Amino acid sequence: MSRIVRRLIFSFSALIGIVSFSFVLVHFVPGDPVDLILGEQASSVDQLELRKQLGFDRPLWKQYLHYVTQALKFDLGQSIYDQQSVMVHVRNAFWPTLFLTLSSLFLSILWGIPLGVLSVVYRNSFLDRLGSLVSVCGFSLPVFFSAPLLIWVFSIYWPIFPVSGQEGFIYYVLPSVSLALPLGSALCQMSRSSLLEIIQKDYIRTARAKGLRKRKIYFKHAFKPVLVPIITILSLQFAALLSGVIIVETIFDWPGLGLLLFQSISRRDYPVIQACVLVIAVIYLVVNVLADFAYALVHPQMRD
Amino acid sequence: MSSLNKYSLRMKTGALLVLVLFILSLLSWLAPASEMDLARSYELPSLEHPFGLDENGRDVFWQILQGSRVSFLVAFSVVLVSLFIGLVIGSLSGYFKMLDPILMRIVDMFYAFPNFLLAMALMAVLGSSVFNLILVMSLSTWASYARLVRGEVLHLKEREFVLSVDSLGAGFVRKMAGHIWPNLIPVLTVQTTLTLAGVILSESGLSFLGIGIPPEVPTWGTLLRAGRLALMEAPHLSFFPGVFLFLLILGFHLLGEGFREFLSPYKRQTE
Repeated sequence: MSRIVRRLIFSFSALIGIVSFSFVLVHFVPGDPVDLILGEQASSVDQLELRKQLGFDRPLWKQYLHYVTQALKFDLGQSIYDQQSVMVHVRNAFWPTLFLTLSSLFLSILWGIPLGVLSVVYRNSFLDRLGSLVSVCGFSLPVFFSAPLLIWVFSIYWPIFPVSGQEGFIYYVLPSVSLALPLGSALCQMSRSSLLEIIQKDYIRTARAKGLRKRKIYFKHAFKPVLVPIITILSLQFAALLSGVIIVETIFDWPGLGLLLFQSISRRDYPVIQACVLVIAVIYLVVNVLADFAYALVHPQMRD
Repeated sequence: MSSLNKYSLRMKTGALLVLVLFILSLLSWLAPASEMDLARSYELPSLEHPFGLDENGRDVFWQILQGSRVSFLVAFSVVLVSLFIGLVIGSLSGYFKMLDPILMRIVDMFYAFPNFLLAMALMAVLGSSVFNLILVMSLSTWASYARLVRGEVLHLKEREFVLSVDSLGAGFVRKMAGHIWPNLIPVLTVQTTLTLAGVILSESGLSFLGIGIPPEVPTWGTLLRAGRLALMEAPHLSFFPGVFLFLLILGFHLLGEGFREFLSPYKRQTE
């Protein structure tokens, strides 16, 4: 089976899994979700009303069919908390999450990869050792430790950066830095180890024997092969980045999908919880598919 | 030679960190529960209480030690459960061609979710308790074991030593338990060490959000949550539990990477 077909089968079963799971989720609630939402004292009229709104009065397979067809039409129902369309909530929360994810991704690439490459160019130097230490420690740093620490140092002790809000570039600094510490560390380690392996290959030795400059070898001959493991680590670490984004959003009151999910959990707003799970998982799936295309671009052998 | 020394240094550091923290958490069973003193809540670190006091006036150091018990308990249980499920599913899938596509599609479905999101969603509907947490996190962890075991079984079952016991009439169980599983110990050791780090991180993350361990039970996650809510007046409540969590995760990462280098010095892991 070719790689692309295999990946398509994976994506398809993953998509079915995501949709089914987000549907079943509400039915995992122990007891009656309607009781949990309305409380014990609710009148039976209200209960019937909500049951009907959630579709619980119909057989399970009909509910599932309805859920899937509505989801295909981008209609995810109504929020129980404020009666607004779930899609509006999700759409409003989507962009802040996307921008935060992109800015932390950008920041990670900005410090992780150059540090990894420089560690190879100046092997066993002070910089190499420092880079190893920083990346080993950074990779183990939980965001819910680093983010409060950054807030305390840079918002409370020295009030340089704001804690919450979203009005400009400066608001991105603390959340992005706390997310970019572990991700950049992973990139640094990966680019260092794979570049080290590549520069020991015969064709690099040939290039050096020809008398090519070191800089030309690193940027021309060794560049593309390094991209493959970097894309791998990026797609693997993307799950960690998303989890980090969820936590960081709750810490910094960032109005994204993570905060929306967190708030809906405390409000028992099940339609919104379903939608958030659905959307975040689909983002994850799309990124994995994109990573596959990126492989095919940089590595022709992987196209078949 | 120099690289070998460096990796063994990493491994030693990792082993030391994990061991010290584990022993500290065992020792905490001997100590009496720390006393509450509401008049002294959020007291800053002093000679008497080097890590300061929490919102109920309890010693943060003791709270951290008690919290480590739950973290270790959850982490070890999750790893045991998911290792067991992953081993069974992965062996069946790798060995029987008929079962492979079905079982692997199920594994694919679990791979579709970031572990943390899956755990968060399930905890949200099931409600926070230690039992639910172990259940939910095992559910989101077993798939990576299953995939790893399947790959190894696929490869090992064609090897001569397995074919030879096959010709002697050995069945599935005997081949697995007697000949294939022992050969999985190295890869499973690496995987388990790194999984322990991941599980502790997720458990603390969920507890930090208030949907993992119930807030009244001290764990590193719930302590950090309390610290987050009182960052202004009691920064020590965010700092010290975080340092312990960081050191434990660092220890497991160093140990896992060390095992990997130790077991396959020439073979770098791809994918």
